[in-house]
Amino acid sequence: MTPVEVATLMRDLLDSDEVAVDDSFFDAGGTSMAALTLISEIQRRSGVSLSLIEIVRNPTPDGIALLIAQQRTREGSAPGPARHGEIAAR
Amino acid sequence: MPQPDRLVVLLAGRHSSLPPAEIAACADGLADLRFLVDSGDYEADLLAVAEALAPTMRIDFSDHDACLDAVRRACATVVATFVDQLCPLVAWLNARLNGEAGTEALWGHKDVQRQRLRDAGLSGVISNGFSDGISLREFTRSAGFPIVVKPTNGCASHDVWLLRQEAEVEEFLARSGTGPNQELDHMFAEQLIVGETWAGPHRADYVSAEVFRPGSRDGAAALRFVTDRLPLAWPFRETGLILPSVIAPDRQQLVLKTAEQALDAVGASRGVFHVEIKTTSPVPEIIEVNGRLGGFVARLVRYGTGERLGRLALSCVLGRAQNLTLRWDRCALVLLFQAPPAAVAVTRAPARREIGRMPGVVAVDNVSPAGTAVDWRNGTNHAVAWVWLTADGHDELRERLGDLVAFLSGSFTFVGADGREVRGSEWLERISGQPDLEKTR
Repeated sequence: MTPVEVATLMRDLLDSDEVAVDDSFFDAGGTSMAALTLISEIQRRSGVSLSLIEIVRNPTPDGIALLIAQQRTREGSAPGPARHGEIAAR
Repeated sequence: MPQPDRLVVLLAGRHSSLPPAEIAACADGLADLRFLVDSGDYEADLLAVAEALAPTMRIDFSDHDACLDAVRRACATVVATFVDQLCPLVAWLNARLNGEAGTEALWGHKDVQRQRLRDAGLSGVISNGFSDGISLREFTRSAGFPIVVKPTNGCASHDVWLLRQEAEVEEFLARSGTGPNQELDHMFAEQLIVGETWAGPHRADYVSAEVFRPGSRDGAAALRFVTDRLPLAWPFRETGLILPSVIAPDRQQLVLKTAEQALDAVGASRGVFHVEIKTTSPVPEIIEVNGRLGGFVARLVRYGTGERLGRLALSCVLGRAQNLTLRWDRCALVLLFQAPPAAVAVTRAPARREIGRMPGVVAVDNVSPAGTAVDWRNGTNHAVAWVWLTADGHDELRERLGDLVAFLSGSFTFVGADGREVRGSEWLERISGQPDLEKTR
């Protein structure tokens, strides 16, 4: 997933029209419980399983997309490099 | 290779001054974390989050021996909490785990704590517990008006009353569902102390001090600082916290000295402590001492400095000295927008994203939608919007706060018990007043 796709997912989850790729999920109104839903949705869409603590440490779409890419690389699947610095999902 | 410390953190409810996810992030590399959740009183969300973060046990917190057995089975070296109501239990557990002097009688017992502060010569406030209307009336005759009535184990201004005359005593007794001979559970009354507004006329007559104590032999704090407050909404609901403090340095030192003396008096040697203090002259008066980090403070510090206070808090709980100096890049404020005291429901509310577009807003939490029931007795945490603001300086922050308050005042509407719209609050008028910073020096 790209940062833009993660930002769009966050936006839908938080019912918000403004989540940029460098916005924190938690500052955008996300709770820990909502982060668990985000993790489930990321796993459904990308097959990558993230932990809640990883989301707490990397709460932006940029950071989460990088985590997904790193985990895919580790697992030996197609890396699908994350694009950083995009302004997305406005 | 030495075993890492095993830290057990007790969780309950929604109102923790450090959320479970932040606790887990801060504990990483510092200690092996376990959570303990009250099996008798927990929310499914809390349990799901705790289990996602660390191994979690469910225990009935009313059974202290079962809790002690659980923390021993977890091989805990120390127990901590960031929830006010759990501080007595945590003190009790730590006393039995590692022989620390027990402070459980002081946390959750504001009446006992006040007596201890008076005995130490640190408080001049007259207070007394009461169990019925007769003893409350007797207290008002001896102490005079105004008085504050609150639960001995309460927090966040929940069910805290201001009684200024006999008629209000009778109203309090009637609204508490208390007949002439019925007992009131765990309430106490004390004189109201009015402070000076050291941080300016648009701010409160009290401040708070955070003190991080690693339990070192010399008693030195790893970090301590003062947080300014916005004026209270009637009667004692908090409306906001501001960092860094604008109070003159010598007065900040006076506040911190008072806080440290209070902590010494109650035997609080290791951990992080939150002391609320009335800014009175010549000596500040203590409102109360809490055995945990103050609410909202960690997030304000993160917005203003980028530092994570939780890690220092856990280091202190573990007894590890680790000094921290806060370097403020920005000023930070949280506004807790309170409903008017006569309101019983929200009739119109702005969307979260509308609030988020205001200048300087970095986060918006807990916006109460139209239809939400409100009652001032629910206290601080039932504010209808929690809004986090930052700015490059205090002047800009104050300007942004004024704009935000004007927007929220126009966007929220409320209805009273008679079905009519209710508006306005004294605290809003004070915030909107002109700055008079000269008076703070």
